[in-house]
Amino acid sequence: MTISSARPDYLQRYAMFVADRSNAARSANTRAAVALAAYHYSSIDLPVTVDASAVTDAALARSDGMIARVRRVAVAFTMADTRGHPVAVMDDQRFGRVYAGSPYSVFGKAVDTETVYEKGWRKPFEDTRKIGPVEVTSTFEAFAGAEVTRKGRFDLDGKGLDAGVEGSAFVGARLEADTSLEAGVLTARGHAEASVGAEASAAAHAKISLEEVHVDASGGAFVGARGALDGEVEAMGVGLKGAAEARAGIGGDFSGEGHLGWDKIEIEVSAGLAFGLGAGGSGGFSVNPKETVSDAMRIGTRVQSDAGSAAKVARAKTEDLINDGVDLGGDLYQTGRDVVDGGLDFVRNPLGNTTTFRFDPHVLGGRCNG
Amino acid sequence: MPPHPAFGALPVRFDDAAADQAIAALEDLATALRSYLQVDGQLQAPLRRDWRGPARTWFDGEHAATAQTVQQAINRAQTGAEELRRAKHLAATEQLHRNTEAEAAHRVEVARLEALATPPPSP
Repeated sequence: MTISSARPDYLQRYAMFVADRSNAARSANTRAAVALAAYHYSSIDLPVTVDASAVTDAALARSDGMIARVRRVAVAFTMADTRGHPVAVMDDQRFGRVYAGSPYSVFGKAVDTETVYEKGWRKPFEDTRKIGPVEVTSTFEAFAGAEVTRKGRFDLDGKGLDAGVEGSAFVGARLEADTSLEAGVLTARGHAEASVGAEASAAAHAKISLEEVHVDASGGAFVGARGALDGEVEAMGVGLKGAAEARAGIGGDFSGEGHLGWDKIEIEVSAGLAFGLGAGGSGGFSVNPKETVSDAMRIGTRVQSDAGSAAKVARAKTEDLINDGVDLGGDLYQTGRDVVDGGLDFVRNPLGNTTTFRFDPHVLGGRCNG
Repeated sequence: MPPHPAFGALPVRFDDAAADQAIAALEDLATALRSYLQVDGQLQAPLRRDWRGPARTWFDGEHAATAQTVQQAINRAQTGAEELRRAKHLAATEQLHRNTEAEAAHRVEVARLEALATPPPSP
């Protein structure tokens, strides 16, 4: 079994056109054979030895076999690979068959994330609440224990092989929450995550083609407490998104990249170590003018038809949102503090009473790269 | 076209029209086979660009052998057409040769008969 790739449509097209030319040649050969027979019948005194018909028959028979096989290969590829991915092909010369299947089954590797080890306590739960016109749906997952996950992918096309694998391990306690909120034209989605413990992740990626070999790998490890929040709010085509992260502890990361080409070979490696209290954040802003105008006109129409009730609903929504936002902000602040406090405790004494780590929360920490 | 057989010459059994038809048919065959190779050649690049694996390896070998056999058939068709043209020429030459021989024999015979018809000289 070998990994193969092909464009079944190209194979079919080739088989079709070449078969067409082959049929035309076969007709010409029949005409030539008849003409030669007539010549030999009427020209007894000057016989000629012309074996073109026999050689043509042999050539076209060989071509027919080749075309039939190309068609079988095309069908095998089409049957096995409707998504345009490469396939694993087993070519049975004895029975003249071609079998094709998914390369993933050959490697036995899942494409999606899979948990390869888990020990501990996990509790997923869901909550939907309707507060007036506002509907809030949340899913939570709490986990305490140890887990190892991995994710792999494989892609082979005419340009070469592209493969990657990622893995992560976590020991500690973690809470994840996904919340979505809908209130008329306003939608909000958010993801929050808080964890205390040790985690490590690594990813490797390779791209191999005839021209070059490119590999890169990266990873990181962190021990301590971490809280992350990202979310998105959209109303009337105006969108706001943001992300924030707070971490307390000690961590390191590395990355490496190699490029092996015919003309140049490059290898680059970097590693970093960070310790202390860190914070990060990012934000974004987007506007869809078409949607904004459309929503505004829709609201305008609604306001015209029922101005009184719309105004009341809008005011109620705004008040609810402000209240929820204030509550959420307070909770978030408290959660962040809890996370940082937990992290500080963990960092100060990560291995019980045997190790003491000196830590100044007012200093953001240091980072060295090598 | 071979000349008409002379009086007394054995006609060469050769059909000039049949030879012309066979020549045309063999040339058509060569053209059809060349068209096969041309189309085949035009489709090779896109076909091979995205095709890798054992089936491709088999195809490479089989395709080369098939193309070689088709080229042989083209050569044989061309050779056959040339042979028929030569046969046409030979047929004409042979008929001329036979006519010449027949004419020579005729002349000898005429001379013999004239000699017989001539009265012997008186003593």
